[in-house]
Order: sequence, then structure tokens, then C-alpha cells
Amino acid sequence: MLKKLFYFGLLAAFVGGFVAYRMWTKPHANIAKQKVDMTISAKELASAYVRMRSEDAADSTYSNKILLITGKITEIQADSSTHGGLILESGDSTKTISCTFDPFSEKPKAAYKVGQEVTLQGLCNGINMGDIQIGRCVPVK
Amino acid sequence: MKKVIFAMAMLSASMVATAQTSITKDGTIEFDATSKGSPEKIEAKNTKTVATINAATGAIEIGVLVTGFHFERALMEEHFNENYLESKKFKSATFKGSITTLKDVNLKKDGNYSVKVSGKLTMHGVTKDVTTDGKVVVKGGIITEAHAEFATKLADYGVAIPGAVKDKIATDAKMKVHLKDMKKK
Repeated sequence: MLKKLFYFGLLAAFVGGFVAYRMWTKPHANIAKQKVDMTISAKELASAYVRMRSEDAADSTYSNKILLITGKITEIQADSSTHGGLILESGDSTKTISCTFDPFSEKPKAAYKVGQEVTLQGLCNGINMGDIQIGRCVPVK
Repeated sequence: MKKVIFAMAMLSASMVATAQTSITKDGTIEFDATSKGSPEKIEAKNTKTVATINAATGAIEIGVLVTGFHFERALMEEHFNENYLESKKFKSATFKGSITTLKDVNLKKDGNYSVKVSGKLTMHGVTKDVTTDGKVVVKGGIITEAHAEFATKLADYGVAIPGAVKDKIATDAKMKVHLKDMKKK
């Protein structure tokens, strides 16, 4: 009986340790494989933030949602310590649409040009001082 | 007539002050809450910090979205958002303050300057006074770079650390703010 208990305890400790290790080392979710919550253009997104009565109301609609966003590049942000990002045309002088490339995915190889139309999949983090921020972006072909 | 002249003077003064405001939307804030005994680094970085600084008035405003902080470990990021900073409830952290040593430096002249900064930091729904040293770079009449480093006591902002991980998470988190490539607003 004691022997059985000992083996059971050993097995439980092993399983528990394995589960804890897997949780601790789990990778960041693959953003490209996440289900898209909304398909929207950069201009539509900016206009929704302008139209809605408060930023909180707009955030409750778009924040923490996976967006498939299309827009024209107005600025390319290159930074040696990150994968950089793209600013998309918002159509509103009070709002910018900032898309930051996913730091946990491979750096996009495409050579982007200002004026080019792109489609990206990323996670909307919400608005920060007029800047609508889409993080963890990956290019969509 | 005097009122018109006064109004015009006020308007032009405010226009001059506005012209000296610089902005960045890709500043960086590094967060480090690694305790001495921790085998793992508890570090995160947010590279989408928005900040404005006015070289004429010294006014500073910084905003950062909590969900924009990224950790190497996915589980740490999850706990940071869900259990500690509660990013769904308190989506951003802000700093509103000013350069308090404005009279000791000539920010109209290009150069590198050491300054003192003071203001209110709001994080996790709690606002506290913060004072720190900083460095600014002035080019062409505007501040183009700014750097500051300070520590915040997490408990002061209502961030509770569970007993099981108390020896791994520092009670004071170090914050490093790097604002570069600031442009005229």
C-alpha cells in the first residue's frame, strides 16, 4: 500500500512539474494563426475613434481584438532594437494608426515603401494620446 | 484697445510655446522588477510610448498602454496584464509634469542638458508624485531626445505581489524612459 502511494506521489510530482514547466516555457501565441475578429481599413478605424463619443467606448469595441487592417503607408519606422513598424494613413489629423511588427515573429522581409497599400494582422491595444496602436503585427499576403 | 493688444500678446506667446513642443510616438519605456534572488529576469519593454515636451514651458506628458509591454516569457506577460497591472481595467499609465529646473538651463540653445523633472505618475489607477533627474538634447529650438530613470514602489500603486513569488519580484520596479527622434508637433 505504502509503495503504491509512493509511486502515485512520484507520478503526481512528475506530472505537476511537467505541466508547470510547459506553462512557464509556453511561447507567445502565434498571431498569424489567431482568428481575425474584425476586418477594417485604417481610415475606418480612425474614423470610428473620432465618431464614438469617448475613447473608452471605441476601445471597448476594438481593444484586445485581432484586426485585419488595410491601409496606405505614410511612414516606415525602423529601429535596430525592434522589428520596427508602419504608420498607416488615418485620414484624420488628430489620429494616427501605428502598426508595430510582432517582436516574437520573424522580422518581415518585405521592403516597404511610403504610399504602398498593405494588409497586416495584429492586436489592437487601443488609443494612447491620439495614437491608435496595433501591436504584434504580421504581414498578410 | 489695451485688451486687444493683451489678447494678441497672449495668443502669440501661446503660439511660440506651441511651436516649441516636440512629440514622439515611438519612445521606449523599460520596466525591470527583477529581485536580487530571482533566477529569471522580470523585464519588459514598450516601444510605443507617446510623449510631448515643450522646451519653452518645460511641460511634459507621457502616455503608455499597459498591453504594449512585452516580456520574453508569455506567462510573465499574461500575469503582468491580468494579475498585476490589470490592463483591462487600467489600460494606460501616464505621467504629467514638467522640467522644474527650467530657469537653470537655456533650452533655446542647442546642446545636452541635465534637468530635474517632477510630476504625477498614474499607474494601476493610482496617482503619485514622482521626482527624478533627466537628460535632454535640444536641437533647432526643440527637445529632440530625453532620458530619465526612476524607481517606483509597486505597493504604492496598489500592485500586490503574492507571497509565493515575493522573493522573485522586486518591491521597487526600475523604469527607464528613452524618448528619441522627437519631432516638432
